[in-house]
Amino acid sequence: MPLIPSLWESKANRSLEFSCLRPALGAGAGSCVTSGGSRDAARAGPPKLAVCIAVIAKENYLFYIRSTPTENELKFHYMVHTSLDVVDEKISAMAKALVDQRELYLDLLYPTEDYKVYGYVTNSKVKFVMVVDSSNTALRDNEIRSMFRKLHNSYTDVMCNPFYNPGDCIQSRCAE
Amino acid sequence: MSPTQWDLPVELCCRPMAFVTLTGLDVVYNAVHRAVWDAFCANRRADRVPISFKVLPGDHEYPKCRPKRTSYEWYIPKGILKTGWMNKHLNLVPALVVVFYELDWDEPQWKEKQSECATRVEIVRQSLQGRNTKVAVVLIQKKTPLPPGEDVIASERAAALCNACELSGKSLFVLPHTDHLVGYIIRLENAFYEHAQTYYYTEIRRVKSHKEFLNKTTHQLLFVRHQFKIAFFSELKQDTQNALKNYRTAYNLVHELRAHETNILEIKTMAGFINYKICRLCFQHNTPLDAIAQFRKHIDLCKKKIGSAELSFEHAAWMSKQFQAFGDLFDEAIKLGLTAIQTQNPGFYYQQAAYYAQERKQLAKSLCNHEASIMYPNPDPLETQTGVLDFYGQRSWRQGILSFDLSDPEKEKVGVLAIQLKERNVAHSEIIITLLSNAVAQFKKYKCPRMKSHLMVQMGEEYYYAKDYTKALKLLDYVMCDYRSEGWWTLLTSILTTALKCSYLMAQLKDYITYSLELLGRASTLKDDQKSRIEKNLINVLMNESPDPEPDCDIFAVKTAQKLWADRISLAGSNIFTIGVQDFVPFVQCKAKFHAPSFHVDVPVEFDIYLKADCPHPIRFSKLCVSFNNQEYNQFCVIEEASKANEVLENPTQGKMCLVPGKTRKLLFKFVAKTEDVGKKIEITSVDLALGNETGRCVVLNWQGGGGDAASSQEALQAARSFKRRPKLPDNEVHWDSIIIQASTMIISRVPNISVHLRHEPPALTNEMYCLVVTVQSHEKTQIRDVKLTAGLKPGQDANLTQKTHVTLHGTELCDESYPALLTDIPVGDLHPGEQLEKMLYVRCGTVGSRMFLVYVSYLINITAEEKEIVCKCHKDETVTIETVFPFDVAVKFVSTKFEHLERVYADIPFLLMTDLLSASPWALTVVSSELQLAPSMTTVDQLESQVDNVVLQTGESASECFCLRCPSLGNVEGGVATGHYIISWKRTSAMENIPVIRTVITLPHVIVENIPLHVNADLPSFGRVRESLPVKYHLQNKTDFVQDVEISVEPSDAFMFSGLKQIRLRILPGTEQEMLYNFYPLMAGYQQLPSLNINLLRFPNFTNQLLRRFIPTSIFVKVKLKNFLLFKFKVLKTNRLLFHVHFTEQYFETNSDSFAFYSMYLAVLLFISIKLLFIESNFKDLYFLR
Repeated sequence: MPLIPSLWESKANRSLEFSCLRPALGAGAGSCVTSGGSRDAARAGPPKLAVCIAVIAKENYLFYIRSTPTENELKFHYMVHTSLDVVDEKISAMAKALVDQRELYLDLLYPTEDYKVYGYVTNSKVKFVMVVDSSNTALRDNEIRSMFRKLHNSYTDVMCNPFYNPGDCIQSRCAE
Repeated sequence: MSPTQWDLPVELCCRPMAFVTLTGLDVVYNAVHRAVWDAFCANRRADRVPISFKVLPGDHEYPKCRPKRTSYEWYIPKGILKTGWMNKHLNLVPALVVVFYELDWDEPQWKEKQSECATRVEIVRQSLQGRNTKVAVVLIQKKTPLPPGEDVIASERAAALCNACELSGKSLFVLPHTDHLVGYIIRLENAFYEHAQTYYYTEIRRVKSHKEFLNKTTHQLLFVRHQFKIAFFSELKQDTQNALKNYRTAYNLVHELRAHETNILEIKTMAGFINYKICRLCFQHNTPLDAIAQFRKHIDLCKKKIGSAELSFEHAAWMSKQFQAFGDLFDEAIKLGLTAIQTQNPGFYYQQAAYYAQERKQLAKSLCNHEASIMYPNPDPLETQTGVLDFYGQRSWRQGILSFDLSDPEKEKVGVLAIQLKERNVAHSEIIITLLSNAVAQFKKYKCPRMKSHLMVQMGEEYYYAKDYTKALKLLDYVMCDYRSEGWWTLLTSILTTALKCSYLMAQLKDYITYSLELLGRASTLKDDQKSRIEKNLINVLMNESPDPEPDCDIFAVKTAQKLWADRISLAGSNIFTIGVQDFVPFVQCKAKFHAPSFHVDVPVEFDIYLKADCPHPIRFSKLCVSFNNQEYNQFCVIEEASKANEVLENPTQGKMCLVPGKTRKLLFKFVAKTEDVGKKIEITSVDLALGNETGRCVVLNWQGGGGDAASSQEALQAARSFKRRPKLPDNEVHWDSIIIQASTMIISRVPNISVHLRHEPPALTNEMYCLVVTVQSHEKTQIRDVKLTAGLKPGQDANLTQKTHVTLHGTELCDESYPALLTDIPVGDLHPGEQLEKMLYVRCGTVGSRMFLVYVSYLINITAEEKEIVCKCHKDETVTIETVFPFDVAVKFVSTKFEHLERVYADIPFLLMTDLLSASPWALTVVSSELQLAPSMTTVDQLESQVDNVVLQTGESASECFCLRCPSLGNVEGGVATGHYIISWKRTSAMENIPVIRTVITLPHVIVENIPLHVNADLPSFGRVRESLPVKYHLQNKTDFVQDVEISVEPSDAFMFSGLKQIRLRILPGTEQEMLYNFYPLMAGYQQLPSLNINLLRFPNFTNQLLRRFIPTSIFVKVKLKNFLLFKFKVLKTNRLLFHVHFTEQYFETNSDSFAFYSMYLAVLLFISIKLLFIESNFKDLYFLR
């Protein structure tokens, strides 16, 4: 008999936890992904932050990718994928540096005619790549850095979610 | 209008060099002139001055100089830069004209020659009318000139010649035609170079002087033109710094021009030219960053200047060319030593050039889709009278018209149409592919594998558009694996879709099937409706029908493809395609799993094949076969389902071989392993799954090993990492991810059902025949045959052990070296169920230490497994570790006849040999006998018979023997004299009668033998008695060959009175003996010192009494009569006030007294003393009571 109430309790706790986490997850990833993350914000009309954002696993497969001009998704896929060349090179150059002096932000990876590609790598070698419109001069290094930091935080939130299965693709609510 | 109109003109791209013409040289018929010319143009390396030479006849007509304009007021320029201008100054208008003339200073007909030379100069001057071109004269002379100043005639005539030709002295040169021609030529050329520089300097000044006449409203174009000319002249002057400066100014001026649709092409063209020059110079000055910055600025400024929308492809073409030209410049700079980096290399520019070329193609496609009926306009509006344009970047039909209004819109329309029609014929794909392959080469160099792959995909797609499907497939196939291995499925799907189109259009069956398989698989991100379509097509193909065309294919290409497919159907040939899946991700997954990592040979081997399909509809396979490393098993593991070709999709849920999407199908296989495979590994080498049947087309999917494709290892890793709880499934279903491939199993022998026991009594004793009893009992249900026993030292131990261990079945005889350490395959016979047999084994261990012994019993038994009779070989082994120890320790010592320890023995004097045998065995030992084998040097005093025959020794007990020996004098032997051997024959007390006795031989130690001059021995009774006479006889033997003088004295003792010679001096002859007789009379009882005998040998002062004491007794025990005396000796050990502990230290009594009387008296005395002492308060050490 005493087993049954405790079972109930734990179930209740779990659902509570789940519902607390969901908004945090969505808001975290969504706020910095694009303005499209929240449709209200898009209507209010703040400048676009990034045209494409991607989270890439240590083994270089995609965790998450989202781009705003959805019609040319493939182009951004290729852009993010090719940027990994530079990321790899930077990481291997960085490996020589001391662990605590390591800078996570990888700076501008490479410029194309229309876009700038920025990179960021976590200590567990998860890579974030952000594509920004070249014409968007409002974004300076500092803004990019803080965006990456936010992205890193929301990524950490996702990883902390006990219902997340490591290695799976990240499903963000804002991506739906 | 040529198709290469976008290429930069050659005269722009070359390095400008001062232009010098040489006249008066007959290079065809005159060998000397030929040599001079060759010296000028051969070996023009970087260390020579940059001049371009040209041989022209003396009367060559140079381009006419237009009359100088006095005022620019009414002048309106028609364009920025004439197309011929650069070429004119590079190749037509020289900076210097050199007149070569053969004339020696001592020429007899000087006057005539001089005037001829002057005439030639004059002709040149005539043709250069109005130009600032310099003229110089070179006299080709046969003689070597004298040093300047020495030849008076020469200097006179030189001055005269200068005068005649109206030349300054600096413009007259002498070229002696001697051996050092090249040296002279180099000096000449340097002089020419100076003249040329002066010429270009004046040209720059001249152009600059025009500036003041210009005004900003009408002469905007001239500002650019003049600035460009100044820069170009500076470059000709090799003043690159100023050239760069002026080009930069010119570039800024170009962008200040008023741009309009009509002149935008001209502006862009000029901007492109100037930009090219700037970048080129920057790279030349080794400031690549400046070059890149300039280029970026240029692109940013010009990107939006598209011009006429109808001709927007021209802009794209121009942009593409800009990037390509910069890429070329960059690449060239790298070849000259510049280092590029991963993120800044020419590849990016080629890539961008390719991108604009693609854009050009797109624009051209949309703008130039005129109907076929529209004819190319006649007359051609793009034709000009001269065939070339007057100004760079102008339209041929309205050259030189500066007005922004279109004067003749009809003409304009025709012109645009002509351009559009021309554009239609351009091979865009070719341009794009060339640019892409340039970029690929660069990215390969700068470690960008992914960028390279991406560009190769683009190349493949471009080949597809260009209808070169073979090349397209080759490229796409090459890069596919990169995307597959990194798991970028979206990209892979896109590539596969293109590849599928290519293979469809070429009707490449195998490729078509492979790509379909992968596009249906889990790696594909296609929508379900697409997948359904592909699946349908695939099945059509397998039923030997044509598939439906892929969407978005060229209609004409589809028509050709349909014909090809129809041909394929009628074509007889191999219709079975085997496709290895390890390199891609097909829509069926396969995993093989043995039920256990090992199987006993008497149990059937079982394994499961799991299959799972990812396609949208259920699919039926026709055959599944599994291959093993031992191919004999292959036949047992085949499932074939006879079905008609059209049933692939029908009755989907029935049948073993029908896979329902997403459901895991388990197929169980069973076979009996061969007995030969016992101890071997059975491995699944491949799994083949056939789709379709052999009447139509058949695809065999081939998995290497136990399944798994290109993506499964990654998935397995993720599944292992995952802690997701899987939902519960019905009993007979499993989760795909939880299945772990197990592609091999071991076949091991049947479990034996017998027991093997060993009975023995450890430890083993060295050299004994150690008995090991092996008991084998069968617990099998049937009779076992061919039981064999292998026993002995376990192989793999120390090699020395093998030498010192011997095993035999016969314990009755001692085994020697010839016996093996391991007895193999001793046949024991058959055993009925429950029967038991015993086997005795004897082991002889020659050395101590532990050994591992192995007892291995093998037998055969008939077994029925899966209705098959098989003969199984079973075996059971037992190992035992046995310690071997020494059975006993033998100690040997030499003592004198007085039992005193001897360091050395004296020649001829008897001594004792004592042996001590201490049993170390935990079991009782029987010493059967012992034997002393003396060395020849030793002699015995009495018989040497064994004193320990048949003695039984328990652990720790010892048996001693004593032998009296004598060693004759041998002289001085180094290291002592051998004594002999001591041989002990023994066995375990528990051993049976027939077990042989073991003889252990112990080598006795050597002794040192020493000679003495005089031997004394005493003859006296074993004890004396108080106040009774004790006769003592001393024998003195002379052991030397000399006569010895001996002094003998006897010292008196308190305990004795004696009679005899107290002091005497006598002489003993060699080898003889002297007797001395004494009569001692003991006065006291106890252990008493005898009166000591002192002997002094006069010849041997070393012979001391110390030595003497070894031979003769020094004391004797003297007894008392009990009737009179009882002597006690007490020692007080400890005293205190109340109690004395008194201890008897010695007691003496006579044995013949009545023992009872003695004891009662003894006790009474003890009591008396105890009581008495209680009252004594003083300390005392020794007390003697006499009563």
